[in-house]
Amino acid sequence: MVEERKRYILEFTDIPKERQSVNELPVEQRINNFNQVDLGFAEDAAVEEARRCLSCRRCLGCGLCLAECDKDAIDFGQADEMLDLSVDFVILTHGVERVYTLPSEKFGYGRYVNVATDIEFERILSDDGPYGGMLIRPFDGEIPAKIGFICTEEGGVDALNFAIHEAMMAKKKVDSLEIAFFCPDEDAYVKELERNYDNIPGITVKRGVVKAIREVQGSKNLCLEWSNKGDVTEEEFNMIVLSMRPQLPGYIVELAKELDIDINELEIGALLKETSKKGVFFAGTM
Amino acid sequence: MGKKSVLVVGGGLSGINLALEQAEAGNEVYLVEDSPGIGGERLLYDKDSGTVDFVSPDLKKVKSKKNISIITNADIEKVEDGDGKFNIRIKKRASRIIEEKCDDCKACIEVCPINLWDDEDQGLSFRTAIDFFNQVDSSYNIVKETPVCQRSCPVNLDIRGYIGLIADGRFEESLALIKEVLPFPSICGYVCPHPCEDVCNRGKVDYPLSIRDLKRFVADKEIHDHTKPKQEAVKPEGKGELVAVIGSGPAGLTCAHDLAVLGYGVTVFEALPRPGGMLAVGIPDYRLPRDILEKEIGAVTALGVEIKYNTSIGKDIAIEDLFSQGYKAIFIAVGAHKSLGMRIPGEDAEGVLSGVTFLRDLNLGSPVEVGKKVAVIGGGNVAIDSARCALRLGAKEVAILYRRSRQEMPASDEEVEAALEEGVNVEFLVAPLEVLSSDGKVTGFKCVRMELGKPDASGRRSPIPVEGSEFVMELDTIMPAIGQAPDTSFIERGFGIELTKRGTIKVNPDSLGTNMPGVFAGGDCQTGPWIAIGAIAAGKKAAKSIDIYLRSLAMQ
Amino acid sequence: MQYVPDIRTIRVMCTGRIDPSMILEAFLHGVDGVLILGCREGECHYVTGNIEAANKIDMTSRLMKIIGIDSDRLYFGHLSSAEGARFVELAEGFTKRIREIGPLGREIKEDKEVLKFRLEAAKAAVESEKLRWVIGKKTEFMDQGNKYGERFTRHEIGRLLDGILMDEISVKEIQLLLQERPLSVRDVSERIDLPPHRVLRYIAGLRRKGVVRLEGTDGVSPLYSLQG
Repeated sequence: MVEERKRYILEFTDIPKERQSVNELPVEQRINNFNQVDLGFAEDAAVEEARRCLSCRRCLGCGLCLAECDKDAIDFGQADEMLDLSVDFVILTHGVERVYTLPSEKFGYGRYVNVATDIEFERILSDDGPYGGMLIRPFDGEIPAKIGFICTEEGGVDALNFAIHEAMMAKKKVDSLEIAFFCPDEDAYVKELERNYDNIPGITVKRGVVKAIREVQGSKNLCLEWSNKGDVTEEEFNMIVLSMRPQLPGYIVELAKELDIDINELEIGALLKETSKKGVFFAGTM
Repeated sequence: MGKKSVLVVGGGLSGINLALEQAEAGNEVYLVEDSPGIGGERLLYDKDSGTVDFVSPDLKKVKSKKNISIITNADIEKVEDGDGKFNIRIKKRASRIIEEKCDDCKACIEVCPINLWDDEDQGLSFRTAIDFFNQVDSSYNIVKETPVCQRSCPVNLDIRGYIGLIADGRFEESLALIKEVLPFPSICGYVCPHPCEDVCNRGKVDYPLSIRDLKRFVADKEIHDHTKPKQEAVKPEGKGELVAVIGSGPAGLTCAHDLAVLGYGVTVFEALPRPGGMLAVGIPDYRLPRDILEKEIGAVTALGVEIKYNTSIGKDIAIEDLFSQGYKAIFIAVGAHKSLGMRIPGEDAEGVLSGVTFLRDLNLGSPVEVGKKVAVIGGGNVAIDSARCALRLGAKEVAILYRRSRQEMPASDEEVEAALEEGVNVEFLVAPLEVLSSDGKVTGFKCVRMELGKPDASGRRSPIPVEGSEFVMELDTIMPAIGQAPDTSFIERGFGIELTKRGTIKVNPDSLGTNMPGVFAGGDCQTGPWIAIGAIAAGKKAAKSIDIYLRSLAMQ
Repeated sequence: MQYVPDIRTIRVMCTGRIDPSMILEAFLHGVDGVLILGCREGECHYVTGNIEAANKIDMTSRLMKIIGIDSDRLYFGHLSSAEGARFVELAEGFTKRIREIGPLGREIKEDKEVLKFRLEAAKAAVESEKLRWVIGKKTEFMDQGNKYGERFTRHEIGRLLDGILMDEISVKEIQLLLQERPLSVRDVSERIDLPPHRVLRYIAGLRRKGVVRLEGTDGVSPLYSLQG
């Protein structure tokens, strides 16, 4: 089973399999002429290639749910509806949306199951989340003893703040939990952490840069390598939480464009205020 | 002050609280949320009490308020600012559940055989194809999405369907299915930059499917084996009305094709001596063989569409004269053939030749000369095509200079690969500063290295010059291929069609109608340079709108 | 008519009567192969009996592949009642193939218990309403289309079935294990050879459906059991 953002793809027995290759004109025969380069598929290769199609489908329209529904509350033929409104004011709010452009390759996000984003961690903590509010790690569902939070400059101080609150919440759930914060060696970050120090006993703050994360065979714990002014240290954690930079959701960016509002004036987390466009207000998550 | 109406976008905690605030002030509130339920997000910190705990919005209250309308599963399609009011168009995607009847008994969830990624829980758990949104808001919905490949295709081609038919060995049915929407399967099979393959889910597990080459395979089969699948027959009675199409590119010809199938008489006016627009004069023969192009265009003229060559609207016929010649509707699809300048000193020197002009001259058989050392500026397919053609015409060294990195490069991956294979040198993060010349002839090129800056609020990173990294390349030919714009001079000379700030033709996005009744526009001249399949989609849309327009004329 | 002695014939009125659970039951009783012989295509006395049979046998053979049993152990042949010689030919060909593969379970490295467990899970899966319903709709999906009027290609149906079967077999295996006693994710994972994060996800899904509940914790491992 391959897990990608917003995907659930089963590992069919024919995965992995190379693409069938098309015939191509050799490079040395391409110079000085304009002959077709891509020569296309032979029939058997084409059928083989077509068989690689996963035939993606969500609801398959089998109607079993309707057969089971006593109330007859399912309407497969329901169409999209168009609504036209005329309003005096527009208030734009943004939800929690994160940039996924952090050097995730380095931190192993998507590769190591126990590396989670702060949003995933919020879901894990939440009572209405996938685990019913039990703090367990995504690999084997066991309660972690040691969690590392990674905050980067790209993530910013806002994200750090969110992570601190998550750490406090996690401590509430598992009293003996050890937490380490890795943050850039800059005053803004360290001050923000220190301000909350008293609220989180059992927290350690490590200044410096996270160099690499390595997954430990078997336990799937994570070995984190970090350096501060040349000193390189290694430490093992049950789970890592990445603090991601909040960003505006795509639909807000689109709407702002349509309304001629510069997106840079829409500050994430800001309190309700009118934008440069009269009648349009913006509020961040409060 | 009377009652006001307020649109609140976003059904998270802040959206819900603001909606409640507005409702309590007596206003009419519309709360619009993109996901199937509201109140999805939790916050960990309560600013009021200063304690850490989950802060939940008051869903009961917001749902019970009479003056709050909650619209979930909704996309905002359009926002217009008019007369102190905002006109909003919202698309409420079908949930396929009749809310009033559902009593949350969960019987459907238990039997649904389909496991899905649960968006609400960030994929940490499963939901079934029919399921409730989350534990707090039991709004049910059925997830029935068009496959990602089909959604990414501008003409909404049923890719899953025709690939499945190929897998079953039913090639003719496969081609027939493609032809239901796409009049040029072969052309697309050769040149489409296949946005579908970029999003293909198979790419997440190993490699995306070769969708384009599969389409080409079934289309080639028709050509080689002379099998012709059944196609919607041309309406024989003929509607009689004449439609003028300006430009014989993919947009124009698709529109002509669809209108001819509907029974209209169509004349296509083409400024050049060859049909096909950018397909003919922008794409080199090694990517799209001439006989393939001519064959598929031939299928359009076989429907009775007449193409008038060497007829430039604005020069040979004034656009407004078309109406007096009996045409009832006009579709402008002139493309974007005007190359944008680099806007740097010295670019008038001999040896600077725009990529588009170079490709056009080459394809029309006009004499073209390239030097020994060539630099192409830009990162799109025009840049790659120009470079590969220059190489074929005998240039010894060809470099492509692009100011961003490979990741941002708009050209298709396999085109870039092929160019590299053939020996084109691609330099990333380089921007031109000045063309150096002596006696009016290009001798060199002063450039600067770039780096990507910090991401802005939407996450985009702009390149910024690296100080002190200027360098000079010695060369004799420079081909800017940094973008094109439509040549709208025929419009500017009087005929009052509105243009956008970007110099493209302004249309109503729903109908592609311009501000002039009976005049429609689409393709690159309306969108700016884009891909062939995008132009084909515009042609289809325009044909539909023109049909509706002409039928409404006939009613009057 | 003489044919190989290692075949036991069981008469049914129509191959359409054969339920996938019967085939799996036969394997649970230790047979090494199941040969199903029925009327030629288009010659069904009940019109679509052998088409339904083909659908069900195809699903069973996919399921066998998933649980690691050679799908050659199941074969669907066609002949008319007058073709005695063909019967002998098919029976002999089939037993020859089975002899090549060897006794049931040879293809599964683990012990007999594992084989039995997997067959039981597969049987539970095919007996569930879900699979019965889906397989019953197969012909309709291909000829008339589903609830949305979408018609499926053979390829699509194959992908769809494989996906559902893979999910369903894992879920049934988990349910069978939890029936015995409360287990942690790691316990389940070791017993059924499925990575723990996959097990956790299925269990989370089952909790959402109200099928599985949290029983307590054993050290750092939460234990789950079936909802009463």
